[in-house]
Amino acid sequence: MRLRLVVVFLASLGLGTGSAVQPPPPGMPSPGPPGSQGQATPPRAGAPGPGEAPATGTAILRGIVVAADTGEPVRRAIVRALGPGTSGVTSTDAEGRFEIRDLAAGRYSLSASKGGYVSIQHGQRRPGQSGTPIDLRDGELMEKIQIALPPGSVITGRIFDDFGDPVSGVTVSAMQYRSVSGVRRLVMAGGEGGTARTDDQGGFRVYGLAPGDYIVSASSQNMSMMMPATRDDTPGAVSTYYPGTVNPGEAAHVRVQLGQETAGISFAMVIARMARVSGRAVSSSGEPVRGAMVMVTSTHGPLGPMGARGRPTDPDGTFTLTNVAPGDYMLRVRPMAPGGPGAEAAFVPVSVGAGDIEDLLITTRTGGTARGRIVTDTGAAPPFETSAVQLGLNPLQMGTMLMSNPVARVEDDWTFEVTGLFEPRVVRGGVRDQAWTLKAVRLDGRDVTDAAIDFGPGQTVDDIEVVFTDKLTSLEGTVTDDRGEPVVDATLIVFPGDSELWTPMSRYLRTSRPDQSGRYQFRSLPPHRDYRIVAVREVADDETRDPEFLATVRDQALRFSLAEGERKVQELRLTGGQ
Amino acid sequence: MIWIGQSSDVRIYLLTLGVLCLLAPATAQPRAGGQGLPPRAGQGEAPAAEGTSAIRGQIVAADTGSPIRRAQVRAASPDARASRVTITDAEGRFEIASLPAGRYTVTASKGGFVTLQYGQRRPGESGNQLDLGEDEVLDKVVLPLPRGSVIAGRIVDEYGDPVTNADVMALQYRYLAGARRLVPGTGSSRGRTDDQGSFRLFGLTPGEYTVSATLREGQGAANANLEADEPSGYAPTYYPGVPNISEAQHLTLGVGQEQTNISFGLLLTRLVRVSGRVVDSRGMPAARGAVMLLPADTLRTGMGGMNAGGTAVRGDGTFQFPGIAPGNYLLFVRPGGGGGRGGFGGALGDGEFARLPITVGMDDLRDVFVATAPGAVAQGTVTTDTGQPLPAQGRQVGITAVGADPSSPVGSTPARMADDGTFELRGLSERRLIRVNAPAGWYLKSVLLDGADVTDTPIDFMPGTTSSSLRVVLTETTTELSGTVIDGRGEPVLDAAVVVFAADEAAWTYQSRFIQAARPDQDGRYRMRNLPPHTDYRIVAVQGLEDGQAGDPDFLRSIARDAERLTLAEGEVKSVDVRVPE
Repeated sequence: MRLRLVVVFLASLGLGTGSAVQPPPPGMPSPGPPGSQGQATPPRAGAPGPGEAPATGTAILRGIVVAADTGEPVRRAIVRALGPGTSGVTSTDAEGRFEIRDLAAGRYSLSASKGGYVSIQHGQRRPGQSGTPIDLRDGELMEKIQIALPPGSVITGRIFDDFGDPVSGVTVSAMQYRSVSGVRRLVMAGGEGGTARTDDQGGFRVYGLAPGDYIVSASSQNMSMMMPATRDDTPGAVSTYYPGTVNPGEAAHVRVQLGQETAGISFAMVIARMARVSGRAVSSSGEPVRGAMVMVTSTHGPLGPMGARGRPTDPDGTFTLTNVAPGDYMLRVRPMAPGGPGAEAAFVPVSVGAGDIEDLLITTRTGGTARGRIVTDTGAAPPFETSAVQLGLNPLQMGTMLMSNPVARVEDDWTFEVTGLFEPRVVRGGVRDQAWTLKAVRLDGRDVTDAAIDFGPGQTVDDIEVVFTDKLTSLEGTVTDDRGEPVVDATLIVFPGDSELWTPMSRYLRTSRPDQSGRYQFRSLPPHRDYRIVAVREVADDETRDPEFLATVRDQALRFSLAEGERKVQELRLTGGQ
Repeated sequence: MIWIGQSSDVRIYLLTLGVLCLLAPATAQPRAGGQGLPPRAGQGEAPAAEGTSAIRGQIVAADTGSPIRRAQVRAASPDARASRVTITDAEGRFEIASLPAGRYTVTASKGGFVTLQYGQRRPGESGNQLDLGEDEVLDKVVLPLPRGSVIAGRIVDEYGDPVTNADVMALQYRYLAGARRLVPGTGSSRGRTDDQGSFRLFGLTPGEYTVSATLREGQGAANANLEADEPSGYAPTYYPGVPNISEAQHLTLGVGQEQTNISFGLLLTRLVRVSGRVVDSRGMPAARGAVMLLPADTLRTGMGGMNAGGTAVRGDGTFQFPGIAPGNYLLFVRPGGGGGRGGFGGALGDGEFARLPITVGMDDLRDVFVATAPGAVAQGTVTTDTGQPLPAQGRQVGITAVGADPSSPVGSTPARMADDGTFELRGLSERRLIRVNAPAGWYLKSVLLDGADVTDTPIDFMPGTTSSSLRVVLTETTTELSGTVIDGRGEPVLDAAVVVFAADEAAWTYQSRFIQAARPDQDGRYRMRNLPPHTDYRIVAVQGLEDGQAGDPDFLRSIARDAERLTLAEGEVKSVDVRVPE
């Protein structure tokens, strides 16, 4: 099982490698409300903790960036520290040294990047893993931090057409399978160097890759929605995977070694006639749908460089999509401009084979509406501002949002209303910069905190009660090994004992890494009687949410409970062989 | 010397300058379409108007004459609302059938070659249109594509180490918004350096180039532990390594020539932090907005997409750019949230925005205070000149407010006419001209504001104001001017262009309706529609007209001497043959 599947890089040098999960550049808004746990991205060390206001401080981080293979300093590498509401970025000097100052106290993730190297977080040991958070106190100076950048690997080759002529302007990407909201999908895996366009000789160079196996995809980029239809018999270029198949499942893996160039990954794009999907869209009242956008997006295929392309319906509601490659899609009809509560849309799964699909009749319907209010668990008036509340109605699976994610705005009387909901949603929320967290979501007396609310056409779900509490839990401790030494190279997983709760959006599932002193912390876990906690080495973040993996570690995990508002200290021992 | 060149993409720049595409973060590039692969034609386009005519021909290499297979061929006729794409077969032949009658531009492209319009002979000019009648087949439409030229090299830093992800552009002077400006050339003239610092720009037309390299914001950051005047990043640098365009060394590329040793180092500069905060018109922090810095030069030089950086406004209204090179900039703030998916390209809608010039010196710039204001709103109605309502099938009318000032790019947010003929434009600012995307057979006759004719007079939109008295008048009758371009013996001339312009220099404004240029079709016939009725036009034939050159007042003055007088009455259909001056 995956726990044992360890590709240890540079074990002899004792340095971290792997492709990084890049923290967002500083200044970008943090992704989603802090209470929402639906993302499969690794929880960021240094996510806003309760009670920590963003501010500048007086702590300083100093260190050096070196090349992992030679140990030589890397100059002009970009170093970022991402922490609770603050961040700092700098570049290394001629000796590879960096200093980031004016940091507030808190937990930071530190990352370094430079072209030609694999971007990495400090303390990261393998691809897809978070780094070691750095815990800083006020005025603390932490020095001698070393970040070792592994040399990036390279894939080169040429793309041809079916005549053997080189093709330019093709987007080539290095892709890997990753777990996205619990579903394994093929995603672009190479960071900024992982995608390239072919030149006039059809040549491409993809760089900065972490060692591993990749699937190389080639897709011809085509452009604007104003492009007209081709004739029925004109073939189109289909996204092709090395060594020349349109089916990712049949693609050959390209293995790259650390810092090596794998050349000769040349192949021809498949050029074939693709299907035409046509039909008519009518509204729920039978009127033809005019000027709405019709598009198809792949449901199981790769999340790749091909975006969804669409075309507006004609005045009589008819539409034609041409050059659709075989596969499973979600066909969507949605208004071009953001509509009001009455806006209608349709979402229909469509399976495209070799033949055309004609005479589809799509009926749009109005979306559902969610209404409710924010309350505190004591019933007292909330002591925070309505503008501080971040409330979201998230779909069960990220990446499949059928309409734009309506982020709810809370009115002055603490009510909210969200329209245009077309699929089941989970209510998530948090309070910015305050020591409050989501306790429960109730509907008609039922607890729906971990259940999705479904919306029939035009249905209004009223009286959703979103309960916040300030009785936050806290779980912390130190991880030590047999000799009592703090362990830094581990990942901690907190999960519920009940496997029913091992869902991608589960609030009870968290991972974190110990800081530089082996100390870990989990803030604002929901109270629960049967938690397990385990420390494992050598595991990628997206694997930790995999139910198969959790089943293997459940029995050796330590069992504990967390009551409301409880602050628990739990020391952990990592025994040999784990 | 007549060379077979490329042009059409310059038109794209004319459009995008009026639209806030300048502020799109610079990613990849090419305007030359799917280079040689059959177009995916996006899923989603239905056939446009169908007809019974066809265009057939062949694409060949200009130097050898050998056929080019899998070249992309497009036939487009704005009048007939038709646009088709196809690819050549193994013999380089193509056929585009079921076309409605109309005047077509045929363009061919293939990676490694220069994209060319049928009839085009020089870089930067348009080709000849093909006049296609009903039930007609035009055969033997041959386009000889010249081999593209290449500029390749490496970008290094002061240590000789490769610089990755630098934005390299091959710039040429082209006419844009009435003046010669430095813009990225046609073809794949823009690229990013890889991990070895290497870049390759290809498919370029021959000519003179300036090569620039820039490391965008986010790649360099102010280093806290440096001495105050130590450099910490890189400034935009021009081959062979100079900071100013005026000192840059030009590269001259012949047809199909490769210059592969264009390597130079980026110039060091001190990057500073630029930070501040944004409040909206109520004095509240403008959370979820987006801030962008555009070098002030860009507007004069027209280098689309060259922004120095973009960042998001934090929840408390503050923003920070970690590393900006000293210079003059324009700072833009746009509302975020909702449609701000792309941040900088999204519709303005109800959001507030701001723009202010700032100068970045050698020290960190803190406390930049920006106050946004809501865009103006303009409501109006669309009517016809006869008072009759528009026919049912002609109800797809789009109204836009395009920027009237080429040195001040603004977003143009289109509005759709509602069923009752009303429309509402939101998010307006600066000086704008109201323009219309009318249904087939209809044309803009005039735009009235409170009864005053503002068709060609920019309206100044003040923030937060609402005007509700716009009237857009459409008409079915419009002027049509056509004729044959002839030489001294009365023979048709294909290698020329006809320019019609109002004699009064006051009408030579940006996007003026009183200036049009057209090239003759395969029979030497030109046609211009919808010139406003006017008593004092000039008409002249010129050779070697570059796209956009007709908007240059200096050029118009130079050709006025040889021009004939022309009047056009309302709705007049006139035939005027134009003789090419000896």
